[in-house]
Amino acid sequence: MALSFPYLYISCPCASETTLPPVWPYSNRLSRENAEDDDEEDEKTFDPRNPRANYSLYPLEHLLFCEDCRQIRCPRCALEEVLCWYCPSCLFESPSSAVKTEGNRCTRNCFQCPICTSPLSVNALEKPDPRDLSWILSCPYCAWSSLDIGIRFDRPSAIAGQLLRMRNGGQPTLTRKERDGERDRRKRGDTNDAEEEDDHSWKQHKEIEDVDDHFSNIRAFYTDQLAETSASSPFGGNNEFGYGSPGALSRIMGLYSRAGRLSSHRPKDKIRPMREAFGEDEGVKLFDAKGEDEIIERMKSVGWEGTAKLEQQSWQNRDARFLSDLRPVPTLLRTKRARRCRTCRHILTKPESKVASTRYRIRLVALNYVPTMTLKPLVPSPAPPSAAPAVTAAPTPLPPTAPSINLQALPSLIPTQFLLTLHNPLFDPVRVTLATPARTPGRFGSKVTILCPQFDIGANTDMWDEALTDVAAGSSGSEPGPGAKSRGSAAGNQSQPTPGAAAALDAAKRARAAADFDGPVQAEAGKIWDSGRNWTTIVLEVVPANLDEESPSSKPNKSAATNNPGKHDSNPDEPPGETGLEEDEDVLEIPVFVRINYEADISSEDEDGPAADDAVIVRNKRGEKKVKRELAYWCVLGVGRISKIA
Amino acid sequence: MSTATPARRSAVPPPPRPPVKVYPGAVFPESSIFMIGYYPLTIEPHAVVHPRVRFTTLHGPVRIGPGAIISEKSMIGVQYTEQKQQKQQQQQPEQIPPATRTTVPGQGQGQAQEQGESSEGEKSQARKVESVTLERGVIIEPGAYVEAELVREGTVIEAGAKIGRGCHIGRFCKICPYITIPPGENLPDYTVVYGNGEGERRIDHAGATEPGLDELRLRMSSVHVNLLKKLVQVPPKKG
Ligand SMILES: [Zn+2]
Ligand SMILES: [Zn+2]
Ligand SMILES: [Zn+2]
Ligand SMILES: [Zn+2]
Repeated sequence: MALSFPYLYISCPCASETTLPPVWPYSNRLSRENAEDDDEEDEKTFDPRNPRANYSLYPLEHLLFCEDCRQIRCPRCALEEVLCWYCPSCLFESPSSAVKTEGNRCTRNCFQCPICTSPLSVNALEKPDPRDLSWILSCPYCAWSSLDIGIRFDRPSAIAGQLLRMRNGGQPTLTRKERDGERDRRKRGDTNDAEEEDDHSWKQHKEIEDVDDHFSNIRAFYTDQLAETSASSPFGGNNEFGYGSPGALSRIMGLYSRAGRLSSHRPKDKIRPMREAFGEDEGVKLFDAKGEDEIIERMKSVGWEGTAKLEQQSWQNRDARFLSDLRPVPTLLRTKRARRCRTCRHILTKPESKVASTRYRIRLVALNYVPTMTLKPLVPSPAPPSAAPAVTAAPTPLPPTAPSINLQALPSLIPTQFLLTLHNPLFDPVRVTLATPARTPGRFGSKVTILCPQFDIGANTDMWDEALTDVAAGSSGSEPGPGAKSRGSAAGNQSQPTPGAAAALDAAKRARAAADFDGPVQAEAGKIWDSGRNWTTIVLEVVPANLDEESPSSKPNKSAATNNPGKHDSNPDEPPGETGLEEDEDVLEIPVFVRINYEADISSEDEDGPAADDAVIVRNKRGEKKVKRELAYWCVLGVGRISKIA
Repeated sequence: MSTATPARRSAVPPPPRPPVKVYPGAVFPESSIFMIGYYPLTIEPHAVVHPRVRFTTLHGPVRIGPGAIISEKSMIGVQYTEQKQQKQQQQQPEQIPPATRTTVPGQGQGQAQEQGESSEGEKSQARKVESVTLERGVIIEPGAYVEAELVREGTVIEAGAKIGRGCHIGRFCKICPYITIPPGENLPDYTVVYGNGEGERRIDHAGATEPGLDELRLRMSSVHVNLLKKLVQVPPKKG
């Protein structure tokens, strides 16, 4: 019962394109041709039960809109790019160069508790002797502190740097220079009497050697090896180019091709193979069974409480089996990201670059371009005309207030009507054409009828505009559709252009509705239900499927469906009586194809820009140049769950 | 643990009001504190009790140690007994002096409503004193629910935590917000309980071994008390 009804998902048109639009700098011309090739695809009914549909259906709120492509953009057809990196704890921005060299963690004073991940705070540890002042990192939640791992700091700033130079327990780590010096000395085999003492300390140090030492050793070894082998490489001894340099790849490729070609007349020993690391000085750590025994002994002594949980171990970036091995975890940086259209590379969203600001500079969300659709059950369910009493009182105000229909249990085979309201967010009036398969796809096809498939929605103008510019707006504009007798404009003609006209308009509309229909307010084919400033409501009639009987064919067969509504013979080919429902098969989902046509004001881009190809420039009645635009997409209305016939 | 002074019976039965002894220097805004019970309530010097605290001494005396801070909306004292917990209670080691009185008139009525069909014989036999003692410098944060028998020096019980009856909480423990400690637990000194529900436990070894840290904590709580003494208004007694 995780679904809450009704819902609306919009299918991003990028899913119907067989390949993703090529990434810039290829022209967007190509993708448009692709789209045209897919016209046949468009003819197919969108099936929300297709496993692929999961990848293209999004709530309207999650979608963006590219103004240049005039198309909906979903996370799949938009590119993300990182604008800046910042620490969520201290809100300092890290330059991307620093992120590349120092990693994606805060290098200031921000750390997380290795026990519970709370942010750690730097606290002074007061002593009777004021000169003895030291600082610790402590967790305000679980009371862990860096004292647990024997670390205290001399200064309250640059904690990360101080921590880097300290092992757990407080002993200093060797700096890189010191390590290199020690290694060189050992290599030379210096055992002078004068350095005897130092050597002793080195040996002591070896016992607590850690991962950093291994890494620095193996790194030094390979640096040496690179220097030696590249001297004999076919391209000569340019030592300054390491394997990390940009030209490295081409040189390596060259090395392979050249070596194969020239091997016949080039002495082989010129290319000296790289030696493998050998010995501890070169960073090789051999398996030591004694170490394992030590770990077991340690486990015995510290017990269950002294070991780190798996989760805690995973937060550490090195082996930490015991609580005493844990290190404070530097806070992970976060990013601010912009999104671009994958086709034309225009920016769709861009947050303000200031870290502390949550505002956006550019935000082209689909909500501002695509009509929102809301579905409501129509109550009371219209009774047959004979049973309905003659209308005397004014009909109930629309839309109805309390839906008595339980969307979690729609009765099978009983026609149910729903009000579908479309709100136009655009500043131009639009013509909407809705199409839906007569029978929903899937094993159990429900019969769906849109009583008024084509209608107009007014422009999203200012509230006051409606009242002030009454007649002109009502009479001009796009010509009314065949079915939609624009009640809104007719009422507008009569109402007074005063600020208080809204109520009067409403009353007039209601009176007109009563007069027009000459009967109870009832859904009528080809007529809109109600409309307002920038919204129009139509009626959708659904006959939920019988879950005990499968549809004649799994394919939506329009003619067959319309010819014998409500009566399905069970298919002899399929095993009869298969009533076991798959997950959510009883959910009534209606695929609806929405096409929106409107005439927009001409923009400079349309005159000579790339969009001029398909945009048809027309002149309206007043002689203004307008651009005809069209937007079409599939969406899915989740109506409810069908209940089984008891 | 000081022995409880013999409980005096309240003259008016409906809301039994415990005898209160407030030592000088303590902050105890008596008129805005909810108290119920027969056993004595003792507030030792420099303890601060916020308004809107609920004390229950129906089952035993309650003692608030010196320098303790009891925040508002917290509940101190053993609440109405449930049969199951009572049985558990009988297995606990006895540290409490024998009750001065085993049955309390008037209490039985409330009990009967709570327990329903519990047998009378078992009830009278099980009735024993369940005292609550908070030691020096204990901090009880808002909304906490403390039925523990003993909370030792310097322990912090944070907002919304629940400490079951008969618990012994050691020195300088920390019970994080909304943790539940089941009845009859013994927490060793320097235990930190954090996480969800009954929580994870760890011993703050560093806090235990670092010299001077305990004094530092007590000093900080005394600074806290001194501030609260200025802030918490004790309205003048009426009559
Ligand atoms: Zn897409
Ligand atoms: Zn930071
Ligand atoms: Zn922590
Ligand atoms: Zn685009």
